[in-house]
Amino acid sequence: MYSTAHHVYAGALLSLQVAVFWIAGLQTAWGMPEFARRYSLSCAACHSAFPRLNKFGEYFVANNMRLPNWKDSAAKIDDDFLALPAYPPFAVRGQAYVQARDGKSIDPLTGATDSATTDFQSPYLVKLLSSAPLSENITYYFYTILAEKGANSTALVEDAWFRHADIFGTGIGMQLGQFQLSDLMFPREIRLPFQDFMVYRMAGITYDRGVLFDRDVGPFELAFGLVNGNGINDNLNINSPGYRRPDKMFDNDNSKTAFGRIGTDFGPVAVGLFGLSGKQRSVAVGNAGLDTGVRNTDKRALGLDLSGDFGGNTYWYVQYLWNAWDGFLDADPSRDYRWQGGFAGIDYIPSERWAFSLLYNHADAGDLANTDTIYEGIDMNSLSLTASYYFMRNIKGVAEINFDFLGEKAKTGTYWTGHLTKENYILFGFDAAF
Amino acid sequence: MRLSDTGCCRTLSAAALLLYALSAGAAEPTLRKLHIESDPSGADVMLIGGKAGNTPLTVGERAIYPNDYPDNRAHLYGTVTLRRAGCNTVVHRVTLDDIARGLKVALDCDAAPAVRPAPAIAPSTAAAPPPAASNPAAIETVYQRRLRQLQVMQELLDEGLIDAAEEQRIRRRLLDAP
Repeated sequence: MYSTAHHVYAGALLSLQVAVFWIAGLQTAWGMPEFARRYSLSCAACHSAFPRLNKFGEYFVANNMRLPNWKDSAAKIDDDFLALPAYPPFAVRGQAYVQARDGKSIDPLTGATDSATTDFQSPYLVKLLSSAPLSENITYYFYTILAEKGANSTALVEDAWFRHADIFGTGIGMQLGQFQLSDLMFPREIRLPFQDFMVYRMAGITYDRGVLFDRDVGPFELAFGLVNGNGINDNLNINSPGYRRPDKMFDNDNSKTAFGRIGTDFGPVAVGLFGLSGKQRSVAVGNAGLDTGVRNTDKRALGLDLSGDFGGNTYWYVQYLWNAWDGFLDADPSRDYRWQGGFAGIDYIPSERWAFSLLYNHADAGDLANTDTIYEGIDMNSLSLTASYYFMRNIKGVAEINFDFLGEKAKTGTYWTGHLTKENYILFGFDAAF
Repeated sequence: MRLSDTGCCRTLSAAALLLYALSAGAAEPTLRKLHIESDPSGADVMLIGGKAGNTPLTVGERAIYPNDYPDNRAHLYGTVTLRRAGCNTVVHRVTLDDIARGLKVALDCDAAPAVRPAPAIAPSTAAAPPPAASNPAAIETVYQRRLRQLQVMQELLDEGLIDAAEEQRIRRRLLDAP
């Protein structure tokens, strides 16, 4: 088996080297995604290396995703009461990868494992994005995923929101719609590595529907929001309120999840404290925790995020997240579960052609270990090294290696669940936006 | 034997080889540059990072769009300021078209004072004009300078590089200056 794996690595490296010498000979051309198109700006104005934002890019996002001269890009229709985008403001993002992976996939019901070690993850992701200012204070943004991680199905909408920048002249911004709670800390979509910020997904603080208010008060950034707390998939469940009721209410209970963040700068370091309190459905007994229970249980999270940069070409970031899921498993409703995790990363952008990233993910299942549920899988200790080569500003080749440092755990119970095999991988592919 | 059993050293070696292979092709790229000309030539070219040289001049895109910059120079992001003694100062927001075709600016040197350098874009205490009561010629220059500063600020506002609140704040500082 080693020889197979060795050949996988050797083959991948050879392919990469050939690709490197090929792409190094290409000429720079010009990418022009939607915002660049609208404002006649270079991608470099907002990105230090696509998709990572530079300081001005962060300002652009904080300024309701517009420049002060946004009306110049509106259609000239001689109507002061209408600011139509001059053309349909769409952009496309696509990703395709080839991966050699060491981790085995385990069926939590049967314990069966698959042994595939290579995969053409192509396409990995196809997104259609759209955004435009519609009035002095209102901007919309949404994207839909046409294919993700091999799933070909009807379009899935993730981010979809309206944002008003100044509610009742108070200086408070309001965002209503579907968004990621974790975007208050580090938006996953603008990370450079392929590897995800796993603790956000494990904690279930990514996509949800709700409202977010924010305002700067002196040196502090304040944000507070309320969301349904049941994610964005209940509209797909045949027995969800959205299907049952004509008014399409997608929440499955009366409680809402409250969350917020306070951030400030200490010299060159940006610091933020995140908190969340709400309800989540319990997990039914058996079936490896795949089935949802009927009880609403308390869910809380506390987070600390730190970030900064050196010289505008080296960015660092750290996230810690503590989670409390009270009475989460129906198998033992009196038991409260605690677990924690986080990640830390560095992006080094030495030139316009290259970006190198390091991302360390850590998660400890804590009280959920040995529960014979899929939540044992909240267990991670990996380091990802990523090299990105920019053919143009808006299309890059990505090479990434992931080292899994997690020791194998003794298998317990009926099910083979959780992170029981190492997940080393090497990956090569393309990531583009236009 | 699976990869996980081969040990970190072997995996790290593979990673090092991979990154070396990638770095081998890391030649300095041919990036977009902005060529700036003025008529008359020899004008100071000011970017967000300070003086870049004199026209004719070619600057890299990152000099116009640096990834980081001091907050007090944010209003200069993405702009080129041309100033020459005896000519009106020109502040221009760089567009994709400029980068593709080059920026050619005709400076208006007739209506401007003959010898005084153009003012800085963002007024500051250090740039405030000196007391001029003892010199009538200097009084005229102070007024002209202030007028130019206001004109530049209006251009920045028109270009969308500062918002109304910033414009009001700067205007107040300008008019309050001695």
